[in-house]
Amino acid sequence: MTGRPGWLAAILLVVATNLVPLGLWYWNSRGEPVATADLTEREASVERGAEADQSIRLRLQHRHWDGHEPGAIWADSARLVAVGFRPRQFSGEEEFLTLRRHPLRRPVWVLLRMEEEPGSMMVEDANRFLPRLVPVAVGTDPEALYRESGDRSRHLVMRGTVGVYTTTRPPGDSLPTWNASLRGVTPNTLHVPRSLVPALERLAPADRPGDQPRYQVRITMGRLHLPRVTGVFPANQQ
Amino acid sequence: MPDPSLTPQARADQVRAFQAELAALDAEGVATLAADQRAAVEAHHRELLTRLAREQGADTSESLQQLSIGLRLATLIGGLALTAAVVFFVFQFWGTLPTAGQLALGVAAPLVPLLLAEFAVRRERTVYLGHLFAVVASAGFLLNLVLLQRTLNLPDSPHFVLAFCFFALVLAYRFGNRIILAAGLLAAMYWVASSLYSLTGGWYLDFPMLPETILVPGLLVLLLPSILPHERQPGFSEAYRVVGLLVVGLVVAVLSVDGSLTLLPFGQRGGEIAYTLAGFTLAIGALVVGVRREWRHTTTAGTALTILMIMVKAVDWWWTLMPAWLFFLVLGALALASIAGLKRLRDLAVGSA
Repeated sequence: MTGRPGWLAAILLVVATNLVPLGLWYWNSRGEPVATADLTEREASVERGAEADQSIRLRLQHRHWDGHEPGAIWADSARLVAVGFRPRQFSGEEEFLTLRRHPLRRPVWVLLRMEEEPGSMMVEDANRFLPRLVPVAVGTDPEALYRESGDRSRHLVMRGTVGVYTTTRPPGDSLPTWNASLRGVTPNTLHVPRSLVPALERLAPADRPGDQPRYQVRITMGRLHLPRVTGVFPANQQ
Repeated sequence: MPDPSLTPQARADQVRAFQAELAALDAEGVATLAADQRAAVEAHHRELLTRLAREQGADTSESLQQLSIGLRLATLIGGLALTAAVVFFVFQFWGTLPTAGQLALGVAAPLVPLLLAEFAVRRERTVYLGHLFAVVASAGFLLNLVLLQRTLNLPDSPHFVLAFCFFALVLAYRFGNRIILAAGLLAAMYWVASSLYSLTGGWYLDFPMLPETILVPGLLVLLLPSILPHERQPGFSEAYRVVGLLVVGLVVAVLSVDGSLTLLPFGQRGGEIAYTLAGFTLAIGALVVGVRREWRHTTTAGTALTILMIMVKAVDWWWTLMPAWLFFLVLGALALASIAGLKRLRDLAVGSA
C-alpha cells in the first residue's frame, strides 16, 4: 500500500471508527428511554482525573453478593444454566481440569435494583457508604429482565459478567462446592456531560467530602441499553 | 543491470563492498583495472552513491551509518515524547470541553499526526519524520478509541482493538514501519484469540485461560509471509515471522509446563509432553530454517526460543529435584552443549556456502 490510497484509507478508517459508535449512541438516545433511575453518591461516586486530567466521571458502585448469600436469587442454578453455565461440569472428580476447559466468566445482562432502605444483610462501615444498587437477576434478554422487575424507575439492566468458582472442599466431602458472583458491569464509569459538571462540582466539591450522600444523578437507559447521565440534583430533592 | 529487488541501502552496501574488495585485489596484486576503467567505475559509483544518499536516504559511508543510528534513536525518543505530549494535552483540556468538542479532540489525536506524517514523507528524502509522526498517529488513534468509549459510555469490547489493528496495519504499509506493523499484528492476534474464546460463551478478556486460541492467529502470522511475500516492503516478512514465532513460542512454553490449559485429548501430562516436543521443534526448526535461508531475525528469534524452552523445562523438571548449585551446573552444561550444537550448525552453513 503506497502513496495516496494508504493515508486516505487511514483517514477513512478513523472517520468510520468514530461514526459507527456515534450512530449507535444517537440511536440509543432517541425515543422513549427504556428505564430511568436516580442514584445517589453511594452508587455513583465522583471520580476525578489525576492532576493533569480535568475530567470528571461517575463510578458505578454496586454490591457483589456471592451466589451463596441469602437473597441472591440471580445466582441460582437455573439462572446460571440459562446464561450458559453447566453446573454439573463443575462437580466432577477432575473439577480443576474441567473448570479450566469451560468458561468461568460469562457476559450476561444484569438486573440491578435500587433498594429503598439498607437491607438487613448490610454491614455498615463507619468510613464508607455501602451502595444500595443490588444485583437481583441475570439473563440473556434485557427486556425480559425489565419485565420481571416490574418497575423501570428503580431498576437498571446493564451488561456485566458473572463468574463461577469452587470453594475449598470441606474435609470428608467427596465433591467440591461451587458458587457464582457478579464480577462487574460495563461500562463501570459514566461520562458527565459538560452542562451537568458545574452542578456536580457545586454539590460535591473535591475539597469537602460529605458524611451523607450529597447528590443524586439521573441515569437514563436508551434503547440499546447504553446509560447516560441526564440530570444532577441535591440528594433527596429534585 | 542491478537486481531491481535491492533496496537503496542494499545497493549502496553492494557498491561499497565492491570498492573495498577491488582495493584489496589491487593491493594483493591479483587484479588491477586499467586507469581509464578505474576512473569510469569510480565516477559511476561516486555518482550512484551521491544519488542514493541524496534522493533515497541511503547511508553511503560509516559516518552516515552512525548518524542514521542516532536519527533512529531520536525518532524513537521523539515519538514517545510527542505521544506523551498528545496524551497530556488531550487530558488537560478534555474535561473543559462540551461533548462535541471532546469527540472532535479525540478524532484530531490521530488525524493531525497522520497528516504531518504524510506531509513529511512527501517532503523529506529520509523517512524518520514520517515514522515519528506515524507512531504518534497510532498512539493517537488508541487515545481516540479510549475517549470515544468513555464519552459515549460504551461497554467493553474487543472490536476497538480490531479497529486499531486495521489502522496500525494501514500505517505500517504506508510508511514502511515495522514497529507499527508489530503492534498491528499483536492487535490482530488479540482480537482473533478473544473472539474465538467468546465463541465458547466466555468473557473475551479471559482468553488466556484457553491459550490455544492465541496459537491459531500466531501460526497464521508466522506462516503468512510464505504465502504472501512482501517484496515491496523490506523487512516485513521477517517482522511477521519474528512476531509469530515469539507469540507462538511463548504460548507453547506455557502449555509445556501447564498441560491443564490445553484442549488436546491427552490429559495434563500428555499435553505437557506434546507441547514440550512442539516447543523444541518450533525453536530449533526456526533456528535451522533461519540459518539456511539467511533470515537473520528469524535465526535470533529461534535462538531465543530455544534458550527459553531449555530454561523453562529445566526449571519444570529439575528445580525441585536438585540443589541450587547442581541445577545451575546442569544449566551451564546445557549452555556448553548449545554452543557446541550452534557451532556445528555454523560449520555446516560454512561448508554449504
